[in-house]
Amino acid sequence: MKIVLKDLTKRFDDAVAVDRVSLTFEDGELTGLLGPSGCGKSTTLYMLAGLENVTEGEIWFGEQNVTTAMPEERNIGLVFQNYALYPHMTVADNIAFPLTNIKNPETGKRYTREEIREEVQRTAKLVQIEEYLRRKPGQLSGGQQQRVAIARALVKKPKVLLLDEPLSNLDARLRIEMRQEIRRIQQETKVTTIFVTHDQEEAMSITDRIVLMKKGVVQQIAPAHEMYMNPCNEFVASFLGNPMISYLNVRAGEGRVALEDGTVLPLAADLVGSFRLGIRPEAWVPGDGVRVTLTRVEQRGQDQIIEFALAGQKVKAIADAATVLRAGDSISLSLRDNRCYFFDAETGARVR
Amino acid sequence: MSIAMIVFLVLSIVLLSMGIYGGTVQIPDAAAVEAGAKMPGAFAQSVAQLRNFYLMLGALVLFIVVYRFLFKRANLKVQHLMSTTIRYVILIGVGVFMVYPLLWMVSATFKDNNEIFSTLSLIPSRPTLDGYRAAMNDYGGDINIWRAMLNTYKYVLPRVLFTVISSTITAYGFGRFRFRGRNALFALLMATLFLPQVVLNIPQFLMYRKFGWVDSPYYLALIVPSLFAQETYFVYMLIQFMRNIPRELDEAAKIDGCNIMQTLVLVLVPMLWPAMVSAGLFQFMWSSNDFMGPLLYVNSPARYPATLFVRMSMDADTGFSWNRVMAVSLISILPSLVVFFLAQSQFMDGVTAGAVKG
Amino acid sequence: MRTGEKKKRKPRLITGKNGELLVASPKAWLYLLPPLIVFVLFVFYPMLAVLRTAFYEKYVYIISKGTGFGLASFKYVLNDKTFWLACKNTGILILVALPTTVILSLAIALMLNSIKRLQGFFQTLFFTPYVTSTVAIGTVFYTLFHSQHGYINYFLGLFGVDPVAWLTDSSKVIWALCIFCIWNGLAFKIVLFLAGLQKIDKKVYQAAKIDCAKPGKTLFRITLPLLSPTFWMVIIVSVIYVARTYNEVFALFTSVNSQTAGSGNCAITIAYYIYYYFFVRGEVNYAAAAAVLFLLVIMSLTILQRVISRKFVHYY
Repeated sequence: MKIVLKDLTKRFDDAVAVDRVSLTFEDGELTGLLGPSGCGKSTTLYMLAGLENVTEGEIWFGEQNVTTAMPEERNIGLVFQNYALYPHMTVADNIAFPLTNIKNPETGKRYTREEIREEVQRTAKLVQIEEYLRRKPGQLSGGQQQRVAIARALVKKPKVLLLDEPLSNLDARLRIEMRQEIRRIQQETKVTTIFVTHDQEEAMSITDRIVLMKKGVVQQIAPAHEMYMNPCNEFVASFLGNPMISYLNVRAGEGRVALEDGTVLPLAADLVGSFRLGIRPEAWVPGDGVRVTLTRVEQRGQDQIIEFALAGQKVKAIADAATVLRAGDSISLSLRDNRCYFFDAETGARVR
Repeated sequence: MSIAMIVFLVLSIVLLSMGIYGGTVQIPDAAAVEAGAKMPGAFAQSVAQLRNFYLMLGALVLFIVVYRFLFKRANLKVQHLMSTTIRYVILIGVGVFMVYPLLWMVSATFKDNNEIFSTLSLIPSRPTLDGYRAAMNDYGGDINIWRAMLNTYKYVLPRVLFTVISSTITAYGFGRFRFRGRNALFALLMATLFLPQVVLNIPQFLMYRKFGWVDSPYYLALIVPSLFAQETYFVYMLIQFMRNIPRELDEAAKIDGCNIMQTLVLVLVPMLWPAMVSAGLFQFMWSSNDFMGPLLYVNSPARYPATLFVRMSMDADTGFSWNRVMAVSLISILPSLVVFFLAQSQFMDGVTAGAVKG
Repeated sequence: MRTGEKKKRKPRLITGKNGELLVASPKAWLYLLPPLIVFVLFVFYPMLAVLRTAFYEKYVYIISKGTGFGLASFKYVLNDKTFWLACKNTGILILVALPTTVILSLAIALMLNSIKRLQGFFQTLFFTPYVTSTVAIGTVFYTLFHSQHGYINYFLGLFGVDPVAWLTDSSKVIWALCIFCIWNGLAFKIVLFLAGLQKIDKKVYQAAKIDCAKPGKTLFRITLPLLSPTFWMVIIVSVIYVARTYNEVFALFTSVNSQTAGSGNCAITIAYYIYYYFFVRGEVNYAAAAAVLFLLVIMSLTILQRVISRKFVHYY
């Protein structure tokens, strides 16, 4: 089911939570709505679900305008952040519940008990929760509860699957396991899926495309790799990547780039003017460029995060773990220019 | 329209017509019946009697039909508006029902004596302060309403104070300490929650009589039990509240050098304060409205608290100056009402906290 | 005796059931001792005393001395028509007034839970009856129930119903009592139900919407089951409370001249029966016997409720 948002806007009294968002979600895609808290991603999701009223704009599911349709008419599945399972029902009853309210699309009549049991079994198998069908939600772990929530959302074979920060209540290791599960389930069922998260790593690892939002405005829509390599503004560049990108105020001219204190950077550029230069941590390589004194070194096993200052501004870089570095060491570094980005000093938009 | 709606529509038309038609049926009076006049069919007769009832029922069903009709045609916003309005109307109706006796009481205090029974409006046609003036009368000696109010608070205030203190200490003992037999004792305590007070009254009365506490000028029979946490409801409520206070605070206090009592007073009480206030408010209300206790243990009219005074004023002269009775009743509940309105949220918290599990 | 410092016994620290650190202190007994003594004195001993008194054959009020030991008091009580009338009245209250009150207060609480503004206002408004003393409001109801001039009869007259002699006709008094008890009982239950409703996670309702559940279905399959612990608690508390109906009887029916609950004690309830025999007639042994019987009924009701709750209440 292809989803189209046209100028979708949501206003709460004076504040604008979602500002004229226009997006297209292709059929069968797994899209991540990414952004810091308060950026409007959850509000957008809830408007897609029909649980929030739309102030302006339209939502189309395929050929149907569902902007004013009630949630029950939209044939969607929603996984809440706290799962919102029915605590007094068993897992099997939780999953079966949607089927008791709708008509079987194949027969046009209400689901019979056998049909329900079959569907519950099928969906439970899909999310791998079959052994727990007789238990109640209170007896399950976080990951298991989430699987039940996903099963409940998928059992009625919805056209759209929505997930509201599904992994934020899980511990770190479980998060990684569960996000793979979500990806697997989505691939198997091929249902158009949108999930909201504030964790950039999550979004990058499993989605087909990312929609990055800030203060209700879409900043960039792109697959993860492209968004990382080609950020369209400072915010996008800062949001993705760990450790974060470092910024330096530079002046460019005559094919050279220099810092405020005059130091020339080992970077070729044909721009003229003052810019903010964003440098990814992995852009620094050992070489003949600038000589820096390390202020801090963190060991990560596979590599080291080193910190130093250039013209009074802090820079973080990743160094290979072959030689152990220590704070106070002095090393020579050069830059790879495909991981450096020039941003306009005032607007933050990407210049080159 | 669905089948159900059609049925309802027909029903409403039938009821309305019965209501309208019923008025035209003549009910023969007794004389006519004796003279041999034929009675109209029993059905028509009963219809005539219940005519207003049918009218109203029919109107109600018609209203439901019309409402559903309009509802289905309306868009989302109007639907929401309609259902919200209906809900508010019903709630206001319930509110009126709940508050009506109180309003009636207030208005009756300003009415003339015979007006109370002759008119039914809430607004007195000739407002007068007769009721209040009569209320101020005394029954000779010192027995007047002010004295009665004073008497009430002579035992209510100590009782509230002692209940709060003793219940807190008892709850502290049960909630924070493990000792042999704690569970059994606690179960026993809870069992008394279910014990009807009436059953205990008999031996307690005889016992208090032996102690000489009956009709005590210090209301001993009413106050002393509260010194020792006899109100298990409050102990239970405070224990529930205490469960929510992390025990780490106790340990931190101990590390800072507090002994057991200091821990209670300096650390737990400030956190428990809202619950204690709720308990105090409730006990205030219960004690000022308590009727059975004073009935048993206060004998001389000079010592009657407000509740007994109200009783007394009702019986004293069966000639019945009801406006006086109303005035006395109103004055007796006024302090409770004032306290309640000033501290509503604490009341609600107290009810829910003690009662709802988990 | 040692000279020097007093040796203070350090309280033992033990690990509690949930792994928390607790003080196992015998000192706790010290704090609990006063209320415990009093508890024994004021509750435990009277309980035994009641039992003892119930078995007396004769009792002289003035000197508080009873003689004999046997079931004579019980025989008297069980043969007393008034006692059975009291049982009947109390039974009607429990079987008619109580369910009505519970269902009405549940409906009102559900409605209250669904509106956004003014919830606090209505809550306060609905709680007001609880704050007023039963006796004071009883005077108002006395006038409202008046056969000729009472408001209720006027209201019924609008529908063509003949005036009912609420307070004087002995077959009608129990209904007047019911109405008064219902009015009195709504307040507390509404607040309890509302609190229980508000504890339900709001997202569950949203999930039900996504699951295409109609409002009626949501009510019966989700809201009410989730409310059942509260519901059950309300019922338990209310049954105990209604069984003790006493103030209402006093307020509506008695007077200083005749301490009977209505003419010929027609409006008597069990609690009032006990009071009547004890305080008015001074036949303490009969009152005690009735009290013991009453207690047995209450205990069996409580046990019954425990058993039923295990079956029907969805704990989660």
